[in-house]
Amino acid sequence: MEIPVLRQVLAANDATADDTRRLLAAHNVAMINIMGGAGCGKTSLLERILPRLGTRLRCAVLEGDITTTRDAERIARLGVPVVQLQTDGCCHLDAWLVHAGLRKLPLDALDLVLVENVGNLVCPAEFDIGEHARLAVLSLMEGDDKPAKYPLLFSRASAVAFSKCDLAAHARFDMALARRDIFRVNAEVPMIEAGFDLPGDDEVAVWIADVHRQVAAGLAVTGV
Amino acid sequence: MHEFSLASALCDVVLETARAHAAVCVRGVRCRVGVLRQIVPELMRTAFTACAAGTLAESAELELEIDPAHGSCRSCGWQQAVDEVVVLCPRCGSGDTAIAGGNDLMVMAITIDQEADHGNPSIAASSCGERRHRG
Repeated sequence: MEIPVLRQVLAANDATADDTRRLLAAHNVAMINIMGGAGCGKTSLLERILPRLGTRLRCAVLEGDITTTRDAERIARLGVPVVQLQTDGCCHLDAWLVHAGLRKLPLDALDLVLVENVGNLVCPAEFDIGEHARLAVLSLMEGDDKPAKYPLLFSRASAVAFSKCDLAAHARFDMALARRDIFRVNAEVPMIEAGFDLPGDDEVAVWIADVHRQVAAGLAVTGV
Repeated sequence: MHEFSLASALCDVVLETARAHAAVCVRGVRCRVGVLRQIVPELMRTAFTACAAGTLAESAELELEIDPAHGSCRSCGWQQAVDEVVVLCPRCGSGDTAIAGGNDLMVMAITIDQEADHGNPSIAASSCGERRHRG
């Protein structure tokens, strides 16, 4: 016999993500989902951004990885509260794992949670984890063809940070092409060129602080 | 290769529904997939088979139906079926475009056998019934 179902495949995940947004709202905390390929520099970017944010906002980090606690150890060295989320083989974070991680953080003593997703340009973009905004990170070393080849992540991003731009002289990366391909799928998304000792790092920090400001004011975050 | 992640979530919905209806076997799954979700049908079927192995749905056939996307431009009136996100109108270049549909990833229906079906000898002889204890 045929049973009608009419359920979105990710409905259970999305319901948990909505629970997470309610939990965050109850504690007046903003959450940003940082996504990008393995080795694109997400953790390094966090290491450079957190000291800039720390003077104004009380931050914590959820570190998503398949295994190990190495990234969490790097963040802990900055004196920032961090929880390592291990997916045990899964290539993305889902709403349940993030919700459980948030429960381990002192939410009443926080303004902002930055979630570093598992290094992957594909699956993380499919799963709502209850975030208020999404930051896509693409390093110049990965190649200028990635926005065209992996459009979903860029089409759903609230901001894009190009990373390792301090190495631009060594990368054959056509920035105009990459920007055009991102523009084609997400016309309003801000794009920032970040890297060691570059002003783009400050711009990323300003963008993150602005997301917090919008969430705290009860506004919809621009571009989400 | 996000198909495996999605197939895993799909399998959860199928099995939950099947158990709620006291199914002993899932014969078929009909799933509506948006053209904008970048899902490769063959990979999705392979991934579903892998996820469903050893469950009530292990012999289920996955039927994928297309949820089309329709692009339009409010500036010049352009309208066309599209299979990727279009921000700029291909006719006039305006950014005042909209896309409808194409994002579904929905389980439409499942076909199951229930315990009573197994009173029918022609169905009871099927392979799925022998494996139902594993689901």
